[in-house]
Amino acid sequence: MTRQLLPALRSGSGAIVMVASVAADRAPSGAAAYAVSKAGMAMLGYVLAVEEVGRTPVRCNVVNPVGPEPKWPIVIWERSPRRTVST
Amino acid sequence: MPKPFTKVSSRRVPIVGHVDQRAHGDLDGAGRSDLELEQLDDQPRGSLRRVLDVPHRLGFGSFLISLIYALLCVAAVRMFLEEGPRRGAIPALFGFLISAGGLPLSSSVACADGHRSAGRNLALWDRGHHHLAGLQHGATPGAVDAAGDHALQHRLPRPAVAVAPRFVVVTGGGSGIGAATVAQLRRAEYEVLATGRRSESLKGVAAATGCETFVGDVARVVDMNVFVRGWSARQCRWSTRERGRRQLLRHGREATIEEWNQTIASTSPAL
Repeated sequence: MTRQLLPALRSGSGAIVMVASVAADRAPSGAAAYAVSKAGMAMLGYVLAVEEVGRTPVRCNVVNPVGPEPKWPIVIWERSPRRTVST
Repeated sequence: MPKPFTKVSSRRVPIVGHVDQRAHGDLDGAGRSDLELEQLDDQPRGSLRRVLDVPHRLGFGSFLISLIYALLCVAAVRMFLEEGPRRGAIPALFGFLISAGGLPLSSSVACADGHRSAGRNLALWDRGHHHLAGLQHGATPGAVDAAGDHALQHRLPRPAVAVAPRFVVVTGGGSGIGAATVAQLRRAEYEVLATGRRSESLKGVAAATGCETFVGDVARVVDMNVFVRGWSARQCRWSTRERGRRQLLRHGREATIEEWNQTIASTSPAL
């Protein structure tokens, strides 16, 4: 989906937010497949952000929620041309 | 046709209603308010900060009261010095008491001035955002004005609306974090397209939040091709409508047929 939508986003502006998991950063016991997939998604987000930063108006962020009842999502990495959060 | 936004002509509330040309310059040469420019340019200019940062302004009334009490204070001191401590003690004491009370009184008057301005500015800010929220959803300007007046009258809370309408695609929006994200974005008046594999859960989310849905699997290329084609057409329609809205706001009038054709041609060349 990202690969197909990215050209359209580049023509205008937009943001990609990938919701991974804290398992992408810390090794959970008994959830290897989950952790690997989330780590892959997170790294995809990092690479996209590095590729797009400064060149296009596209931002890419990775959010790692914590636990089954997340209270505060943890943004462990962010790279974007515009650091301001416009809401 | 009613004006898209209420322009403020009172010089007591210059913070939101006017462009302060000394501070910000005439940003578009048309003397538009900062709020309008913020909504037109989609760039936050810190209006909220300026609205909340209403200075503790000393109005003319509070200045007059301060002056009277300062004169009373001076008179009391002179009486004390000229008449001596015995005869001048009581008037001097009254003078000092009055002057001591004058300071908080004048300050309260000044605060009231500032708070009135702040309240007015916040109300205008509310009105502008309710107005914008209405325009995002295709309401007529008259209906939006009525909604803004209603919000102003009943002091409705400011909606957490984005300055520019945004379109968000949420994958896995049928359950869990995706569904919660859809609900939050819809509350913030984003336009949301929730995707997922299970149509039942997506229908439930759509019924609860009013979002659009797309049933498909992101792992299947066929589904993604269908999705991207639909998304492109959807974005094209949205972009055309949005540009038309901005044009309407920028010129303060309905666009001509030629302008609409130009807008459509520039945003959707395939049409």
